[in-house]
Amino acid sequence: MSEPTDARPVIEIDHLTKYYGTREIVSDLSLTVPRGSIYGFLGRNGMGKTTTIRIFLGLEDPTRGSAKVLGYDSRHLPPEARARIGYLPEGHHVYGWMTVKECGQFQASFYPAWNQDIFETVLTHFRLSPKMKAGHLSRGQRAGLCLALTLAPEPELLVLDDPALGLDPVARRSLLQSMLYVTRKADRTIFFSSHLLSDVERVADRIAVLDGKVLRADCTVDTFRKQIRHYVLKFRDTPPPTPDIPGLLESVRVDHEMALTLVNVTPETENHLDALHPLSIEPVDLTLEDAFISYVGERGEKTFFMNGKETK
Amino acid sequence: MKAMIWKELRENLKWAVLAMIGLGLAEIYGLYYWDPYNNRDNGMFSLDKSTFLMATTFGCALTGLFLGFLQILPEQRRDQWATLLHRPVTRGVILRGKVVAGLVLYLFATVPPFLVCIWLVAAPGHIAPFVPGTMFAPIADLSAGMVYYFAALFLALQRGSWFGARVLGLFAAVHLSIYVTDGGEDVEVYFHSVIEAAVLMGLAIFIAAWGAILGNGPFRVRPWLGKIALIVVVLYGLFGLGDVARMLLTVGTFDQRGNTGPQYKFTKEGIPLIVWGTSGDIEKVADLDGKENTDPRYRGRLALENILSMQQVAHLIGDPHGLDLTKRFPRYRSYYTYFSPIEIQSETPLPIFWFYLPEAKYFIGFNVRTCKPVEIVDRTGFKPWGTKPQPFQYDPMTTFSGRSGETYLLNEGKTVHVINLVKEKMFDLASPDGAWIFHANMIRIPTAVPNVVEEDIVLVTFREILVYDLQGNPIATLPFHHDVDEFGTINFSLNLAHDRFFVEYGGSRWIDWSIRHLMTSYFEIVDRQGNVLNSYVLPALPIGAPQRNWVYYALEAGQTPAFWYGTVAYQNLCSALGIGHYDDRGINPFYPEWSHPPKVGLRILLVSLLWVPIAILLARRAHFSWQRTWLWAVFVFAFNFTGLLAFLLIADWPVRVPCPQCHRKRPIEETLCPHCHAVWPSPKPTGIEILDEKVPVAETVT
Repeated sequence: MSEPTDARPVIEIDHLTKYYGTREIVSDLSLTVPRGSIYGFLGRNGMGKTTTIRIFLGLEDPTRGSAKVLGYDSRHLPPEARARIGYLPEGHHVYGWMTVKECGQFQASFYPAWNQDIFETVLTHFRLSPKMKAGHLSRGQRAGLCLALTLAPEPELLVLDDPALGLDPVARRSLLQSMLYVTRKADRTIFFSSHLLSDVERVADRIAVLDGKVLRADCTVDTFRKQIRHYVLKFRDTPPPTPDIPGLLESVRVDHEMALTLVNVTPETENHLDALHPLSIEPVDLTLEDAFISYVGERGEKTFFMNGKETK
Repeated sequence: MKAMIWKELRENLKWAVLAMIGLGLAEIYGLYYWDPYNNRDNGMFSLDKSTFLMATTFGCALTGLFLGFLQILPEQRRDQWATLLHRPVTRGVILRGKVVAGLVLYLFATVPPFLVCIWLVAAPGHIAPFVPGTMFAPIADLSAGMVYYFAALFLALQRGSWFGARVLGLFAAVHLSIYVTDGGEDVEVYFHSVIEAAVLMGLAIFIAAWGAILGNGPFRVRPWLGKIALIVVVLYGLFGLGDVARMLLTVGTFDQRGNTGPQYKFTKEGIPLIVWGTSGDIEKVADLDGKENTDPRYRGRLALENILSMQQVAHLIGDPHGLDLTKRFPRYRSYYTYFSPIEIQSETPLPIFWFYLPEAKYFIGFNVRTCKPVEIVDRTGFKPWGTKPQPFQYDPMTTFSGRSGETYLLNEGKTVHVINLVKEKMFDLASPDGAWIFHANMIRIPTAVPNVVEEDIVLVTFREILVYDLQGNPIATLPFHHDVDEFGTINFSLNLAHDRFFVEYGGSRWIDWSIRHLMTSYFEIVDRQGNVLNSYVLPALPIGAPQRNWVYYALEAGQTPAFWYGTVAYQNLCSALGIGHYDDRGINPFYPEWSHPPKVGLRILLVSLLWVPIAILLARRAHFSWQRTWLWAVFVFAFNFTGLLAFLLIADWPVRVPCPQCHRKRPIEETLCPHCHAVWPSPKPTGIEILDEKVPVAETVT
């Protein structure tokens, strides 16, 4: 196999499908992650994020399709390629009987490009002493130690699977700061899955959203936010039933109001709204979290009327 | 790999210490355990003591399993395992690191307790000699324990159901254990063959485990060596399972009564009768002329008292062709192979406990009070301990044939040493004219007093039987009246008055069973001068082969053609080279079908062929290519039903779901539907997709 060039995408996933038994977990997923990007991988629980990560890291085989990392087929990742990939799974596992220092020594023995300064810097950031027993660390400290172990080899590609899971805000912030340290060099790539949209919003250039085992969005954070629009329509009387508008994600009818969340809004969509004859149409800005919840949440109409006018 | 070894050693050292303590306690308990129901072991302080070997057999196996599982299972939680495998080394290196550390820990857990036990046994203060050969059995158990260690690795690493191919790794180790522990009494198992078997089986299971960690589960992605090892492990696992199933099936379903035809038996006066009946019941009695004997003494319960078998009437005194029935295979796990305790019945405690050392070929006596060796007996007589022994001349396993009470006979060909270990006397009996003594034995004659017997010494040459009393005084010289070359299976006895001697001549052992069972026998009653008083001709009686049921035939036809024909070819080759001959079963009239290998072979082939279409059908149904289908079909044919089971357990059976196009089931891994050739449809757009163009973030090349 020829040595991959740096112009290639770091991760290339091509029509990847994964089944567990007869259950399809990931369906026909195609995704490329350019070098130097910070990629947020989003989706609700059970949508196949971790499975996808495990497949392109060669820990599981795809049922169909393929994945390449740093130019190597994921099914045959050589040790040299693994040495260039930092991977932090969600469990933040450490050997409890080792001290922090021993954890570092053990990990360092596998990586020729181990950077002890980075290791110690991250430890200091998380206020970890080398003599501490790994098994006695708090969840946040353990996450810090794992991050130090992952960052010290200075990986070209950092893959983090829900790294902030279960951490308090301070630990999360420290984790993000440490994580971003790796991108001080322009060709370093971070691919991370998370449920914490504020973190994603803070650091990610692009996001990929899995919904119902299918990739539904692959865009910049700004594009995602811009493409999802929220309108509040006010009516004199009870709002009419929600019409069948293309791109409708969610509608809530309450008393004299109708709130609609739409995606990929076009002028035709606005004509649909005007056709309802509301008193006013008010666009509302959404945070990434709100946009994401609407995007991957329950579709359709929700109503809530007081005074027994209409219930659903 | 060094870091991996260090980590594994540190992580599991405490468990190895725990195992060492547990195993050590079990072994010491086994060494000192006094089993009230096992007289053979009691008082023996040996590394071949059955309770000690029970501790080593099970203890080493459990230690191996324990350490193997502990190295893998706790680390196999999804993320933890992913962290381990993601390290920039090959999975082979990870496994090797674990295995090196695991074997060090296993040896750390098992060797020190064993060394302590050796020290306990070898240190003075016990009434038993320490013979280094007694270490073989525990060493074999220790080696087998390593196989269990690899079996645990295999079980933990192999994907799939615990009840499928995985658990067969354990049964492969069980199969080895059955061999190591000399499970079949009639199987000749040598120490070196046990070690070879353990090494080979351990290697096969290790390679199968390596194949399992290398691939992410499927058979097809394993390296060739891993595939072969997995097949070997699964086949041997099925054989191990078959061993257990066979034991369960054959109990109560086989007819194991042996010969169901009539037999010669004798009255108390030495008159032969033809008797029908099995399992101790006498159904019908006839005289030699075939007429039914109506004597009431030979009917019902009285018949059991008044009709005796040849063994009750006379003692087998051997065969002049060296096929001595007293010769037994030296079982490497039995301390009798290394030292034979001499149990002497005595009303008063004897001051010395004697052992015979078969390898060193002399007796050694321990003072029961001081527990120290005090005397030896060699070919020159009784000597104090410390004197250099002059070993007896011949292989004691064949010459140490006569012992009864306190008197022992050691046959050296032309001289027999008569040794009385209680009176501490030894004298020699030489053949009268330098003839070869092919057998020497003690004859016990029951007296009127219960449990009291009178003993005589019998020497047998090619010409005559010589009878002496215990002091070596001649009683009788009885020349043979038949050609002992042809009729060399001789049973002999005499009456209490020493004036009637009973001699039966049967076909010699060198003659094939197929011929021998058709030969006439002779029974004679002779006087002290060798004159024949009565002579009976005993024509060959029809053989009543045991009745067989379907289980027997199923087991016979279920043998693998590969192994069965391999054995036949091996035996043919050995026979051609003059280094062996067909197994006894091949010429045994009790197994007539084995006398006709083509008949059995045809049966095996036909049954084996039966599974081939089933294998082809299953493979094609699962959309295997024709090449894969035929490979599996040949495999199933070669290994019969076992092969079919292995095929079902090993092959990559695709998961199939309905095709969105034609709705027939199609394998999820195939791109095209094998029925309608449609590709898998892409997920339908829902109109909410947000996809924008990607711009490479970094164009720089470092």
